[in-house]
Amino acid sequence: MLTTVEKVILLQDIDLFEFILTEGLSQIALIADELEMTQGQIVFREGELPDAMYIVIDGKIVVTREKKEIMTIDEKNEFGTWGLFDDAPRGITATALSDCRLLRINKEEFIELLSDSPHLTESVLKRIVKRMKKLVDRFMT
Amino acid sequence: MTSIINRLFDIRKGEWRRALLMFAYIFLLIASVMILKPVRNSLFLFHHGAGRLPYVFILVALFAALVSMFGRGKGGKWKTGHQMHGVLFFSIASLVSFWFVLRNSVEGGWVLYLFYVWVSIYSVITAAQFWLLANRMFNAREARRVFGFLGTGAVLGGIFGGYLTNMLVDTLRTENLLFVCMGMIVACILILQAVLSTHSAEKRKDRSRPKMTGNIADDDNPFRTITGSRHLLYLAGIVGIGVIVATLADYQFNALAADAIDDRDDLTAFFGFWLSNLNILSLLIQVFVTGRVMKYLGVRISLFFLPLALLTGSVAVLAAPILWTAIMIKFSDGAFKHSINKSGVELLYLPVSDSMKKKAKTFIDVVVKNVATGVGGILLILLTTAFGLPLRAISIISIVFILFWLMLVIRVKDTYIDAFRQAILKRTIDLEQQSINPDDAALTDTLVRVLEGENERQIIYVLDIVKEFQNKRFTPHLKRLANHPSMEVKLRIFEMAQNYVELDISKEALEMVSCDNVRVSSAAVGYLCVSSNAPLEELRVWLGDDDYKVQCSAMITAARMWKDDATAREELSIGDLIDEMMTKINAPTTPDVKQPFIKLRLAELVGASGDPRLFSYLKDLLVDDSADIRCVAAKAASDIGAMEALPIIIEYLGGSSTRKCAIESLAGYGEEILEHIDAAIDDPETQRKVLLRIPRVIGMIGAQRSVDTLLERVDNDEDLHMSYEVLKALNNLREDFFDLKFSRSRIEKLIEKEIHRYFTILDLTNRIMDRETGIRTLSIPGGRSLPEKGIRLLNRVMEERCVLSLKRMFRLLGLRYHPGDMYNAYRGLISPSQTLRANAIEFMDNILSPHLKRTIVPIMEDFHGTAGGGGPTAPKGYRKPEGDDPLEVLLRHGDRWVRISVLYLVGMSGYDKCGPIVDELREASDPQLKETADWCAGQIRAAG
Repeated sequence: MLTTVEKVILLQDIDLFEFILTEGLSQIALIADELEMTQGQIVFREGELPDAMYIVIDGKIVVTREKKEIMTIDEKNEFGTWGLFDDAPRGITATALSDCRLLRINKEEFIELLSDSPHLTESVLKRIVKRMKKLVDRFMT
Repeated sequence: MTSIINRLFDIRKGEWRRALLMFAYIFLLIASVMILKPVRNSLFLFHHGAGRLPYVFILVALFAALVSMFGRGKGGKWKTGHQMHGVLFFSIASLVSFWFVLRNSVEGGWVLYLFYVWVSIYSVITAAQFWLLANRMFNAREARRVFGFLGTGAVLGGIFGGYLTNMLVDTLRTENLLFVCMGMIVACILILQAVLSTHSAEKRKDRSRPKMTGNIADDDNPFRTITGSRHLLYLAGIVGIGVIVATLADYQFNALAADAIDDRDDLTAFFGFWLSNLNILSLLIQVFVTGRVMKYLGVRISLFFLPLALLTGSVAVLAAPILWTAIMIKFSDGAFKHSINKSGVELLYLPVSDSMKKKAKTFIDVVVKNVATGVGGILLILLTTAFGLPLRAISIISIVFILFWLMLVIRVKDTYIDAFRQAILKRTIDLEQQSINPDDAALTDTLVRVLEGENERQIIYVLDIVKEFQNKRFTPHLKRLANHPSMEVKLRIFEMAQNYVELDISKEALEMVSCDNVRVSSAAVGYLCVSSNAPLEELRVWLGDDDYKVQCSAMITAARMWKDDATAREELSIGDLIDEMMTKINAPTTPDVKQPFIKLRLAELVGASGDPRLFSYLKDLLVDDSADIRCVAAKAASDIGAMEALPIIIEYLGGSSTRKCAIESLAGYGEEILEHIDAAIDDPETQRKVLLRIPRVIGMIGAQRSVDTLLERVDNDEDLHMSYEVLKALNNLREDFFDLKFSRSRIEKLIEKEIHRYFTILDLTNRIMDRETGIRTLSIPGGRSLPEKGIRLLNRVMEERCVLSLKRMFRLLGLRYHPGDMYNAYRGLISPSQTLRANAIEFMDNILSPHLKRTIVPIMEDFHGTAGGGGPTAPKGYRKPEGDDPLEVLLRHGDRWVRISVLYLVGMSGYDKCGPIVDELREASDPQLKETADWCAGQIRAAG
């Protein structure tokens, strides 16, 4: 089992949490559960309603859409991130490519945490705005 | 050489190229002026004599006005760089023409008047343009350091130009000296080109740099621009009076010298000798004094030097009008005018917006200065020729002007800070800040225009402002707004109408009685009752209405009337009304859908009654499943002052859906609950998320006890998060309740402690890792190295602690100074814009008391990245944290999160020296700290 600070080490490299202070990350760490998956086990399926985001602690995850592989995700990377904010069904399926351990952040608990902490909310919004600006810049050029 | 310049002027990396180019430019420019002026003077005096000088002074003033008008009409549309190029090329062409005419012996006629005026205008315009460019090239902080260096360039140029004239005049002859000037101007053009390309590159680097805004509307007319701003008006006054006094002093010097020395050549030698000495003295002051005065005493003090020196000189001439006092007055003027005073005046322009600065500066330098010279000339003609007064009388006039000058200097500091404040704020004027006078036609017009508009927020804002006034002009608009689609607008109209004699909105009220919004419906019922001849009879009609919603609204109205009106209390039984509602809630026939509505109204009714004996009706509602009902019940408990409800409402602080109403409700209790909620902070059972919200509640209760309670809690090294929440609450109190007292000495001690905390963080971080290079400086015995992951986390945590400490410093400063100013200065400091950051530092430099300034400004500069190197210097009395091992020190004295990060690093590296402290921390009550200490101990064991 990872300690809170070990979870923070993982969380500090996640894009969405870029602007969150490390102490704030420890609050997210408290709601992040460790999950063990065996090879071939499905994390979530295309069409399912999103209820969490995931970070790979170790092992690999393969992401497919309509049975076509889109990418593989390895250690310290996240997937299903926008499921934290979006109610639309998942557009991808995530499957364990090997035995792996994941960190799972529950959507409901995350939103509850944001509503409890304006600092966290501000930091997450800042990151989303940065991403949007980047997209707009790319679109404009 | 650079180290000497650095020591004297503190020019920093990134400023050198710009500073040297500008130095060379002003050096050559002033040198050319110093060649032209003797040529002009000798030719004019030789052909026309000194008696014609006052007339040419007036001519200069007239031409200056014409040039300024041209500048506005045509030149004003060009960029500064283009304008400067234009002036320099035009100057070369003019000099060629003058040389040609003078060489062909058209001397003694109108050409010499024209040449005199041309040289005066050239010297003023080119110098004004240079300082305008310098203002744009350097931000507020850079300017404070670099302007002293540039001023030195000007003085050196003056000395060089003067000596060069003396050396070359015999060889070249007077009129041929114009070619030397042309060469210097050509060099200026080349330097200007390089300056502008450097500036463009700098601007590209700082693309986010927004234009500063002044505190007044931008106007095309420079005269209106200046008269529209107190700051610019004072500035123009300082410059104008300075020129008048200098003209009078110059006359006294010339007249006393002429009186004392009969021979013309001796007189020329006397002028040459003393003017050269004067330039050298000016240079010495510029090099050794100006920079230090600017750095340590600031703009305001720097502006006192010249008038005080002139005052001394004038008093001396008044006491004894002899040659030595004449020299003294000339020295007073010359020593400070182009050094300390020049730098101080230039700094006054910094907070003015670019576009305004461009217009105002040209106008002040060209028109104001020359008009002042003209006024000085007229005064002299009047005093000496018309009234035949002696030289002493001129001193008296000078002293009067200087006293007025000193008054302006005292006042300009406030406008300077204000202008900076506005530049940082960049906000429009807040209506609320104006004292509202209902009879003020202009204000009424503005308010009516808003009421006529479509912006709902603005309408609500104005309704809140005008609710106390009964102005006939508002009546038709209020009646129309009773039909506004917004319920918030309607609510305000119906509430206002209850006290607004001339407003009849019965028809609109009748329509809204049965609307779904109970607040509006209740206000409508209230209005109908109040405007009726028999309010209670009217109320009874509504209480008996068939619609249960109307009945509920009427009950709330009844409770309000019951509370406010003694007759209603006699006639109505609030208990009966509540029983009626309870019956409705409990009746099996009441559909479920109606129950929450009736419960909400019941809570509102109890709250509206203001009677604490009715608390028992709220008990069930406070623990209802619905958060909405719990919130309204909490508000009602607060309205009736029911202390029994406190524990429940405090618990609400932890829930996201009840937090807001809990904070408002608790604050609504007022001072009485301070003791209870303060006790909740010490209660170990209180949840952390509840704990962190308590300071906010206290910060909304405007009582001295709130300040005292929070000040007791602010100094909390163990829990910085909580301490920060306390600081925020104190800032709210300071901002919202002006009459509360904050002990200055207490606050300053806290600021001092925070500064020490900041330096402790820097110290310890530097002992673990070099902040700039990122190289690990701490080594662990046994050849083990600190692991990357652990050091990265700790470094990030320490950086965050630095920022938090700075933030806390500004919060504390917000208790000593205006909290809004401190907030905006902090925002400026962390802004990505270099200009905003520099303005923030400059603002703080002007507003802080000297002992705070000495430490806080260098910290800001270090944060800003413009510190001179080596980081800020620790304040007096700062003691480095004891202990050899920084990790041990942090484990012993750090806050919980710093300790956790260090435990992680220690655990990752298996550093057993910290073992004993780690074991102590395994007993910590904080679960995360304990968890990490356990893990760390395991790692050390495994490594051992």
